[in-house]
Amino acid sequence: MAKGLDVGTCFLACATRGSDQSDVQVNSVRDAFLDIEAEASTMNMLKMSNVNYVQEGDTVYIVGEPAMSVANLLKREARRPLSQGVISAGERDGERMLVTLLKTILKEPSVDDEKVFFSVPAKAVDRDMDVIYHEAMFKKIIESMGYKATSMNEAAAIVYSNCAPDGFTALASSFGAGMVNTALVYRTMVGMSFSQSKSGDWIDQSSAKAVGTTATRIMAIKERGVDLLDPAGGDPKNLREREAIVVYYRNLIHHVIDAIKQEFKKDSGTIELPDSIPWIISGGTSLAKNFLEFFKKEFEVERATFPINIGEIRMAKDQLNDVAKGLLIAAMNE
Amino acid sequence: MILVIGNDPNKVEVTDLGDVVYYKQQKIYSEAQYARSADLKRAEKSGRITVLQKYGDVDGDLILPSSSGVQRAKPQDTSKIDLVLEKMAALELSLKSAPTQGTSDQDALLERIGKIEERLSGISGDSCNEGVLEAVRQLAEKVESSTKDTSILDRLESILKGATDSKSSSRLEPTRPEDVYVPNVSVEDGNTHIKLDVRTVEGASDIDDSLKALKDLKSQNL
Repeated sequence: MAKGLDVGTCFLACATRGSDQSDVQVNSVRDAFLDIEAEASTMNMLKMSNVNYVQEGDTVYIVGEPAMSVANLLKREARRPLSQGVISAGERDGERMLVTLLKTILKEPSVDDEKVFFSVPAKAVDRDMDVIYHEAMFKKIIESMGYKATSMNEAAAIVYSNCAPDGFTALASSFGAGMVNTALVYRTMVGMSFSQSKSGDWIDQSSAKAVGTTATRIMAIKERGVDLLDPAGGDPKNLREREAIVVYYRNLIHHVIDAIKQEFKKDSGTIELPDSIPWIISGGTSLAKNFLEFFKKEFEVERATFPINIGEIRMAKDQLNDVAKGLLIAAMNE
Repeated sequence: MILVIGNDPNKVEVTDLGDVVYYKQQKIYSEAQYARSADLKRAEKSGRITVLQKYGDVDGDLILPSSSGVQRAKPQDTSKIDLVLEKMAALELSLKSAPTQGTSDQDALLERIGKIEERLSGISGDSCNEGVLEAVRQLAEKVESSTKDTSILDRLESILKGATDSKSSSRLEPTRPEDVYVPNVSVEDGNTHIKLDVRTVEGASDIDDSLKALKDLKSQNL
């Protein structure tokens, strides 16, 4: 028995095989919380509305998806246990919420030392980031629950779940909430990998700043659906927000392409590739309407100077769950 | 063997050996090389290089003078630093030839160069560091009165990163999760009320296909 755990800034997702082995199940929970005072009226409201929460003394933490809607209602920003892809050392509320969420999502192991492969980001190219602490913290939490935990590069997991027909050779980019993870994988071996701290949250924050609103509101607009090729379509009240979102999506894509050019130069002497390879796009930030077409259009501008011969650019089969599924495959293959 | 140091801020070209000695860079030449190089002798005579020490071989290994603080030269380090210095020389050329740009660009460039210096100064025990640091300082001076070619600078930073990463990370950062202190985190499970969003995403046949392909790949590699 094994599990694949995708540790995302926005969602935690755990993939397992169903009890009859005939299907794959993914449990997921929004990786967010909001702390409010535990007054009697608030507690009544929470119980009646069936909202996910954790009570600790005088504070109640609304957890998961409702944290986002309540934060929106109160015009506050929801808090995240992870920031830009990694857990922050010393963020105690965040750590406790994370343990709670992990216990809920992983549940009890079905056998002693059941294998869990969990995703970790690659080293960031644009900021100092403590990946080692992040990895150590998750390993400790998961193993304290009776599992045997192994870390795996997030983008490489996408290749495991999407590229069996390609001989597990591909360039993969996971556009998550906190960061973009990219890996060049050749027959399951990671030849180049890196992460960037600009991604979905950065789009939200930059767009919010540009139009004078909150990032949580931009996220809500984004998740309701923004057509990247036609931002004018939709509620006219939010047109400026949608236009700002498109501008920052474009910026993000070129940021990723530029970083690949830069990083590939460093490793080009050690990487041998077949004639052309696919580029797999995944992650929640890639769920925006027409993201793939938009991405292809922007990539064509840079294709001539791109150092890797890309044959096909395609979406992962399931952008939200393919990291968890790839981790499950890797764990089962171990 | 003859150990020399560069004294000329504009570097010394040793054309007859196909080599260059940069400012404050220390280089080792064999006695035969030194004997046949007119450029080296000329540079020594004009004071553009100084011979620091002459020393011999013992069982084929180099004896380096301890009093000068010069360490055993590692071929790998030297080649990386030489590469950096070559790139700096190319940048110097471009600085001389490129038209002047705005002050803000130059400020940004100076900041980047400052970061490169910080990065290098954080690494001890590299016999070539002093020379590289000096070269970077010179580069900064040139930029104050000239301009830049960012593509070369990007490349330079990337080479420096590659040349210094392994040393700095092995000294300063733990590399395994087992080496890191992680506090215990406890929660009161009784107060937790969470419903999961559970979805069945697809049939397992896809996973079985992937596992089969992985097995095939493994057998091909054996």
